[in-house]
Amino acid sequence: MHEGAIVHSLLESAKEIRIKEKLKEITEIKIVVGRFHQIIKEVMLTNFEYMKTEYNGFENAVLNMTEEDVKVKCNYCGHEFSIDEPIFMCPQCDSFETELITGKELYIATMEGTK
Amino acid sequence: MDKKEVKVMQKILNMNDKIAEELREELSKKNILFINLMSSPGSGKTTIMERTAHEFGTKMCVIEGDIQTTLDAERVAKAGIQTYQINTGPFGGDCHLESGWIKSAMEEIEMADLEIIFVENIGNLVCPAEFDVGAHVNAVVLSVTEGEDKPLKYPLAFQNSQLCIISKTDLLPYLDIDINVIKENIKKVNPKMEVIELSAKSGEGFQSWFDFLKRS
Repeated sequence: MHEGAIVHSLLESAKEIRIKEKLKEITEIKIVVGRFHQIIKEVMLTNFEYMKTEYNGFENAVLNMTEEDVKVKCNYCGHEFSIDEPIFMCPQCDSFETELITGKELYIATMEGTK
Repeated sequence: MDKKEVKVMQKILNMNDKIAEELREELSKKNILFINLMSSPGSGKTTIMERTAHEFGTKMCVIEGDIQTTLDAERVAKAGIQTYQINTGPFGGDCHLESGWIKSAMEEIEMADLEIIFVENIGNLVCPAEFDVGAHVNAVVLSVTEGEDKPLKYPLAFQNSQLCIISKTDLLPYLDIDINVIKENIKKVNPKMEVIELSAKSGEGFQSWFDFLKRS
């Protein structure tokens, strides 16, 4: 259940951004989450619906979460591939000399609100 | 009503990460090694700490993270070392530690003679891996009784760590567990991970652990 703590951090950051950008009512927050975090979208959205009511200006905000696939690069043969299982072996040359390129993202991309 | 979209591109956990980075820098300046131990409940973290305390004595300190009770801190304190207990709260308490908790703990710890600080994170292989606590080394403790598949089931903990301690190896003769399969699964998830096998009951393997700590 790390989703609750992540939504809390998200709203704390968004609260400051709302003030800095002089936005009144926040209508949408777009976030990007890499699949490696094993964050469950439905749980994020449910937590957000409950927790946003404690933040001024977020009562009508919608959370829009985009998930990023886990992509890996083989440093031995250069092959780039997506994985569904956490196995960091190159399917082309069987090397484990690999590194994660995407899949660990966890950031706020944009926020939309009324001026 | 006029709407405006602003580009943010900010990490969601940036406050946690900022405090964690400050802690890491501060401890580096003081030449203190900070190790974050993560595992399932009952993997043997506290027993490992007890035996480690006999080697390093008052040069080490353990921050115990639990949802409830001071049982672990009391156990480790018996070895004569400094301990600090964090309780995240019995009803709906957090299932992981964040850097803010650690910062508060660090303010209470007497650091003058310390060379190593350990944090025993809350027993849970999922959530703790998400939050940087400011450690120089993240280590996963995996006991042989947990099964061979755990690295594949909880990949983030293994990906975000540099060391895996396979514990309770004295139980291997009684289990249908092949330690080589555990190691193969660790390698699949994190090919660069260092692995130490030990038994806190017999003491076997502890020299490798002590050597790791001394060179880190």
